Amino acid sequence: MRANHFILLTLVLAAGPGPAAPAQTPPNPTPDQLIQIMRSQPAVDVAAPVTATAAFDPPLVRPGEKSILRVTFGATEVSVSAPEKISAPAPLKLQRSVSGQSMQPTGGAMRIFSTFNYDARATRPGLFVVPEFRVEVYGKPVVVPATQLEVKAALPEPHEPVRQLSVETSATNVFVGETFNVSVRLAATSANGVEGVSQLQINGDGFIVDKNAVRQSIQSLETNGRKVPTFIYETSLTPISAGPLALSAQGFTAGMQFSGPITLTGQVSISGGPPKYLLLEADPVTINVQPLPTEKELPGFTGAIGSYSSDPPMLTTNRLTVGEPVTLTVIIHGQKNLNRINPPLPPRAPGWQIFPAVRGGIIAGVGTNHPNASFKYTLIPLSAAAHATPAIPFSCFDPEQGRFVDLTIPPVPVTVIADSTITNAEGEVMQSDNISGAEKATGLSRLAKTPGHTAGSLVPLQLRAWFPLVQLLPVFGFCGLWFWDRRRRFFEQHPDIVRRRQARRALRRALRSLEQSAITGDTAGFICSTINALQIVSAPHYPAEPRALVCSDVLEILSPTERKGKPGETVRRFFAAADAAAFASGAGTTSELLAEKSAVKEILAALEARL
Amino acid sequence: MNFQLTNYLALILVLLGVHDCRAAGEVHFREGVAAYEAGWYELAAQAFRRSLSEQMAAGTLLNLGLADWRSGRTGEAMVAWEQSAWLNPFNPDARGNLYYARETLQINPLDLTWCEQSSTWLPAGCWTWITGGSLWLAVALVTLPGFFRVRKRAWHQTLAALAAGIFLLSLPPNLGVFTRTGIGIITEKGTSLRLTPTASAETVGSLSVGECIRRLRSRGDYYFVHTQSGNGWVGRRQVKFICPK
Repeated sequence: MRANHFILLTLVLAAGPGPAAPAQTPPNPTPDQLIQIMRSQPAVDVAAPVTATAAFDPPLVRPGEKSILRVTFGATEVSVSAPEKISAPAPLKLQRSVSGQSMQPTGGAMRIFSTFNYDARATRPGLFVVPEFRVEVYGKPVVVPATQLEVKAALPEPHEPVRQLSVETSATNVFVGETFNVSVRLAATSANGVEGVSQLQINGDGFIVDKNAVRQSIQSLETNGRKVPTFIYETSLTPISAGPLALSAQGFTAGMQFSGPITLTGQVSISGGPPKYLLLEADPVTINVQPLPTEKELPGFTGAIGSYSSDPPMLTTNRLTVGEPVTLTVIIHGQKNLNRINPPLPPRAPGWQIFPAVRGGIIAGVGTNHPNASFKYTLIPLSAAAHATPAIPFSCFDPEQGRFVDLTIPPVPVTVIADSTITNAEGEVMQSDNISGAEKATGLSRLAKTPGHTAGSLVPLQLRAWFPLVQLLPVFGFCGLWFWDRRRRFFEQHPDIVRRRQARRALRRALRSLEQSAITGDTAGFICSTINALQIVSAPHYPAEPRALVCSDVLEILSPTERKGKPGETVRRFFAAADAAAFASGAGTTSELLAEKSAVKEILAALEARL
Repeated sequence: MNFQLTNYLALILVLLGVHDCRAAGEVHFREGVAAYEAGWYELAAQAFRRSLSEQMAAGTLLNLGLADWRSGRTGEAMVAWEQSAWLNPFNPDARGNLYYARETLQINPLDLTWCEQSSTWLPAGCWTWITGGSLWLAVALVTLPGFFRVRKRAWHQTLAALAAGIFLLSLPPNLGVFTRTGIGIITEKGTSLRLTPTASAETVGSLSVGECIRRLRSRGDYYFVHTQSGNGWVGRRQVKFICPK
């Protein structure tokens, strides 16, 4: 192998203030210096009359092959009212594509040129002339000259197709937020002259271009079986919305002028002479951007997307004093986007004061090791009861696995020594953080081994339908007791009511006995029951014990008319018969008294009515 | 005789039914624990939900919260832990998990009134029994000696005063239990706080999952809620309450 094919030649051309160039901060210039700097810049010619040019590139193509109608104005881009469509012969289709403006040196001054590209394709051979047309520039009409495109079925070789950029991406299916690389390439011309591209921009919606990740190089790439020196512009893109993402690129050829550092690999020849500022474009590339499965997002996700792993966290010391700050360093390994990882916010942990993390920078990997990023948390123990640093939830989304990965920073065991010189203010902070033991937990609890405390429902008792009814039971009970007590007290104050009631009840019993004796013909029993009934019904009027009443007592209850009439006579006869039965030696005939049953009942009814 | 036999049979059937529910609940509980330990959090959550349909238990709710959390349903997990703490406030795990979740999601808990704060000291049902029991004990101690012609003793008075005091002190926690039934948690991502209870209403703010809200009133498919970022309307489906009606 020839040595000169493997020479790695790296040239760093600091031709312009490239974004990746290490920028030193110059001292602020004084107003005089600013004027000097402005005066040293080449003048911009804006007084020159506006001219327009139009040309097909290439002017000779096959049917269906792409050509570009490049219309250039000597004016700023915004001042040109370029038409969306240009009238052209029917087989020739013109479609506006990209536009841009560039500063070009002309006769010791700089002049602004704007270029508008129109994609041109003709379906059949012929010579197609685009007639001149007028375009309004700075409010005045400017004539664009006529131009022509020749389309031939057979073209002499070598035939060079339209010169344009190409876009290559490192992935075609990505997730939102997943950064991927894009390279824009411009192959050398047939004469092996490779050119740089200036004002290169990626066109499209829904992504962010990382200007700090721009790398430019010229390498020999194999194209159609042969090595072709190619200008390569690489950068990183981060999609910010889901769905199909169309990417394209545009830029001006800049000859040997390169903006920023560039790496040259292998044998390359760079075109000399003044550059030709041609606006090139690339065919669009579609990237499928998927949304993150946020429904399965883990705690501590700060937007980190990539394949990451973490080392065990490191403390500057494990033996701490209350109030003494300590640094917890967390190292995250990964291949890309390390500078985009935001450290997770520290949790509020009792017994600790934790400050948000600061980035420790990116450290390049050595050998097979991945580069790493580090975060540094500053923690201050506020209590000697702390035995470990709190866990810090952290997670990332791994696009290769298509799921969130838990990278929680685990607790680090520490020994905290109480400091007797702790100030009152620190003591107050500790007291405010003195929450229950349950809240001291720095992670999720373990599973409960038993169902534990059970309940019929989560609805509180007072909102359940049966609860008011249960509360009514004691109400009814106390109301019943109150009524019972009230009634009892009433009867205590009115004993005659009780006596009359008792007399009525006893009278009903005596009447039943009386009826029984009359049915059985038991004269003695009949007389006894009658006397008993008369005594019972008369007793409440005195009041007296019924058995203590005699005939005159019963007669006293009767009205004077009754006393002298039949009822009084009946009462006397019954008492006399009873006395004779009790005290006379020979009992007289008393069987006729059974016939007085109705009279007796009438007397008893009259006496009962007076109760 | 027949009536008594029927009563006994009914009692036995009720007891058997309760026992069956508990047994089925514990079977599902054990299934959930096994699935969780095997890393099948979705299956574990389903098993715990089945267990809860049979038997509402604080431990099951705690485990359901863990399974939901691992499955990425942080809002539902916080609801389950709140319900676990509602049933058994003495269990430190539920409160610890809630604390951890709020720290992780950077969400502040809803400010509870002092009535609500005191109601968290005991299970929600306890306060009601304490209130009812102390009230009727005080009433009984005051009235029953009079009814039964028993001479009032000093301890009767002391106990009645004590019961009346407990009754008065237990009223605010009961009020707190009642007002806490209106506290809910946002479970749907991208929940908007709306100006009016309509789908096309102007959005006055957004609520993150796990954020606590307090229901003030409802209309149609929307609740008018108080949040730490202001008042507004949220959809019924976007919020779950600790005490579902």
